[in-house]
Amino acid sequence: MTSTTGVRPPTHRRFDRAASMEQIRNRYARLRASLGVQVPVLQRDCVFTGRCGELYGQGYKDWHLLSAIFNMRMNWEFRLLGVDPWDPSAPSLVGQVEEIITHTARDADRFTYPAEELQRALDTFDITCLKTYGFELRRPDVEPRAIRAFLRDRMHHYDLDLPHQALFGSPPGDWPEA
Amino acid sequence: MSTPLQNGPAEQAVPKPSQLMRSWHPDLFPDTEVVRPATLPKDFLEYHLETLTARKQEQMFEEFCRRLLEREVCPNLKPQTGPTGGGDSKMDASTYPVAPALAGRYYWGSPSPPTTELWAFAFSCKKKWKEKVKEDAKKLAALTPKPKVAYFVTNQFVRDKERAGLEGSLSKQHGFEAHILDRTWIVKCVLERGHERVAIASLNIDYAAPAEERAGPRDARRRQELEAIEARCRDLETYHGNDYALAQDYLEAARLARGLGRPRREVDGFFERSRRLARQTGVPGLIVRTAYHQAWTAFWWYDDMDTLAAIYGEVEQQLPQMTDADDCELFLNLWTLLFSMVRQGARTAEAVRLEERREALARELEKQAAEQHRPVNALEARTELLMLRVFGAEGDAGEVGSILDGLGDCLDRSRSVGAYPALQVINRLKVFEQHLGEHPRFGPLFEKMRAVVRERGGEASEGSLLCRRGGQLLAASKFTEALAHLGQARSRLFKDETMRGAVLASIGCSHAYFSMGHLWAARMEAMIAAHVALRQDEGELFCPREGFWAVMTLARIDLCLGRVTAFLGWFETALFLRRYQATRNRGVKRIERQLATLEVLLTVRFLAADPSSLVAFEPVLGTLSRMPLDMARWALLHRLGRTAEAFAEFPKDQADTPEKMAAYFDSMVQMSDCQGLLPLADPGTPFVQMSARLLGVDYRIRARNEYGILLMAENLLAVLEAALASARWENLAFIHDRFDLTLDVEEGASNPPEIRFERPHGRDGYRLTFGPGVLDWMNRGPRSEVSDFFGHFLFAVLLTTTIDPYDDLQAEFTCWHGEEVFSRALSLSPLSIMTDSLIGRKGYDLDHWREAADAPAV
Repeated sequence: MTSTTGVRPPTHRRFDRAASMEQIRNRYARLRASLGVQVPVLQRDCVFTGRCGELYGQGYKDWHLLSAIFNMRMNWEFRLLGVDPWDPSAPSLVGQVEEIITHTARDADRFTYPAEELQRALDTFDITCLKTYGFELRRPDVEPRAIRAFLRDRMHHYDLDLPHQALFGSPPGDWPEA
Repeated sequence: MSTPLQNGPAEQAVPKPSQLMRSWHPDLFPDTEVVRPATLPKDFLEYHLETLTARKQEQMFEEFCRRLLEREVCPNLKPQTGPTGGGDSKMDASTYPVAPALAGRYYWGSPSPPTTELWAFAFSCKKKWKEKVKEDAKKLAALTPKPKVAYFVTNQFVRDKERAGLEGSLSKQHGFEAHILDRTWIVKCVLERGHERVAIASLNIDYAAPAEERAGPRDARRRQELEAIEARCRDLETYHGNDYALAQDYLEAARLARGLGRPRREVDGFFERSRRLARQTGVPGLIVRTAYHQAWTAFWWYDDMDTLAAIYGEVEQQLPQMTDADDCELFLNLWTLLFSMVRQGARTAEAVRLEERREALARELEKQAAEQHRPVNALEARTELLMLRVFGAEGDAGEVGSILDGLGDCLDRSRSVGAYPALQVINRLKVFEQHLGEHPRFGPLFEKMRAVVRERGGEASEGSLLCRRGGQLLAASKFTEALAHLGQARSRLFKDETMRGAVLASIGCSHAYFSMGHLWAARMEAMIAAHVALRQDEGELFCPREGFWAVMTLARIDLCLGRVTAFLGWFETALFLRRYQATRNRGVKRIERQLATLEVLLTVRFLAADPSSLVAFEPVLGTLSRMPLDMARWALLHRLGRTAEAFAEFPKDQADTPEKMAAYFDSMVQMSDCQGLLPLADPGTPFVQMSARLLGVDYRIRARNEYGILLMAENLLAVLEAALASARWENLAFIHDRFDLTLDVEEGASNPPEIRFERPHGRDGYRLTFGPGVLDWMNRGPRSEVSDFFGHFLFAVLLTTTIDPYDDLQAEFTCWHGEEVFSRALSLSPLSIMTDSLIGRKGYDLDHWREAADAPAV
């Protein structure tokens, strides 16, 4: 017993192309500074670039991948330092961790196995983006699939990028002009 | 209503009630103009009767007597054939037995009519009438069977004393009840009861002519309607044993006859038949209404207070059965007449038990005024209570002030209760003006009366405009815009005085929703339309034609939703409406075409369904045959693998082999668009799944298969669809593509349950657990609590499924408010009251249709 309507979802009124492009530009600029050492390591790993090829096919852009890579590194570095970054009583080591990330690189394997790790980091980044776009996540039980669908269909989240050759493509491209 | 505070008898001469009524409502009286009065003077008629034998008109006299007696005594007279002057059968006419079904439709001049017993009649023109009567009586006494009553009609004058003596001795001697009717009776009957035409035609009185009249437009219409009703009533087939409809028709006939100025005997004859049939139905509302109109007529047309008081006494035991303030108002109206009779000194308060009856009436009204689940009726009851208090309060300024303030408060409250008959109440209040106009509290009441009249008049005009525009947009397939217009039209027209417009707007909304794919919301609007259109107004359906279309829409929607039992419920209602219209001589061709279309739709539904899903519907096979929905039955049998049985019943001119029948069914499916049909819902599962897809989200409700919970689930989905149908999707960020909700019922749970969608319970999603009395709570709980629950549900769902910041949501809701979305979506919930009154549980209960198969054919 169902009644249905099959209508294409419209772009959400909070979508602002100029603001989104500005955010993307800022992200590239920041991430280039942070991941300048890590990216060449990953570009050389054909397993990692193969995985990225799949993700490009799903619409992910370099700014999504770079943001996920940065988040993964942050988590590892904090873990290695034995600090829970969400513990308010723990000393703030963000600056120290960012320094480590900027000057060191981790093996590409760590970004490839297990495969879910990278996807999880991408999903976390999507949630972060919702907040950046001005939305309020009121519930803990949202499904990443639904968030991806919303961002894709309503916020053009996977349509926008700065013009450049894919960083983890074949052959590997270069950073866009931010 | 009568004027409440008339002066006492000594102060001034009071005009008769009939004079007052004629001055207030000339439209209720005849507008026929007498061009030339009847030329049958009394002495002419007497002379003509005296000289019948000289002109050898004995046989004419017999015919005349029979026709007169048919009109005045009993209609079932059989003439006797045989030689002139005596005859072989020893009587000139006798009664023949009448079937009980027909007896109710006749006018009987006697309180114990001869429907089964034998009455005999002897007519005579002999000068020596006494000998002739004795002789005829002897012959009648020798008959087998012996008549129970004997009438002797003579053209001679008979002195009262002589007549009484002879009647007594004949009764004693022969053991039957004897009556002698003489020339005085004949002349009085002809001239005073309007039988001039009968006399002139039967007795061939060529020097006389009946009155020549020119009927006015009102009388011409009344006469036409009365003739149509009388023709219907004569036809035994018309009502199919439906005493209710027949009683209604006789009531209408009485009012038409009254308007035509027909003799009181004829008017009362119609009223009596109507009341007798009403008592047979046992419906308290009908019993009271038919009695009310007779009492009202007796007082206002015939200045007859005795009949009024007697009828009040006859029906007052029905007062506790009255469930609507409208019905109580009838008692109040009659009570006010008793009150004015006492005020005028025509009766004592004790004789008419004035205060005792006032208290009984007040008790019933107080009970209804306290019913929070029926706010309109409660407000009406409160108004009636205040009206009742007015009578006798004129000397108490404080009491009058409190009553006037109370009435003002009722008018204030009526602003949010459109269905309240505010304009009717104001019309009644105008009468108070001449008695209470000087009271300081009348001024504020008058201001409220003015404001309400202005608002309602303005809203009604605006509503009509919106409705018209909405219809144009609907025709242009601009459904969202049409919905906005029609929804607002419906809310403005949802007033007692413009309710038919509201019904049309609702049907329009339903079509708009349906075209947008919002079947639950479409169902809700069609339900509202059907509920209002099929309510009773003075015992008749308010607008049955519109009601039929709403019911058709409901049948189609439920079939689309795969709900076969509900479809059967609507189909049965549609069949009732066909019969209702047919008994009123209204065309039913279009109705029958629509019913045939519904049958095709059900047939195709069965043919296109997966056979495994059809097993659940095997119990309705008998009902399908009874309805009759034969083609659907054959299709179901065929799909259940019982092709031989289907073929045995299948018309052979359509297909003469089972293969051809199967090919016939295949062609039906091919000609229909069966793409995307929803599966048929199995009415026997413990939980029923219902869903709606809105703005990219699937709302799926899994409801326990219990009547009250199912109605709740339908209502929740209807509210969601109605609210989101015109929402701007670009303003709402739905972050879920599914919203699963389980509705269940548990001992100890409270109604309404607290709505907290904090975390879903596994794959069943969120839960709402109601207490066992959920239906009772929806139908009888405080209306504001029930409405608030649906509103909270809507907000809770939106807060759960979207990620828009509160400020954005608030801005959106403000827009909705401006567009009256909440009013359209929420104002008429709960739907359970409407479902309950229209199809009730049977629409949800397969067992009902299993048992209904044994019921007589519709």
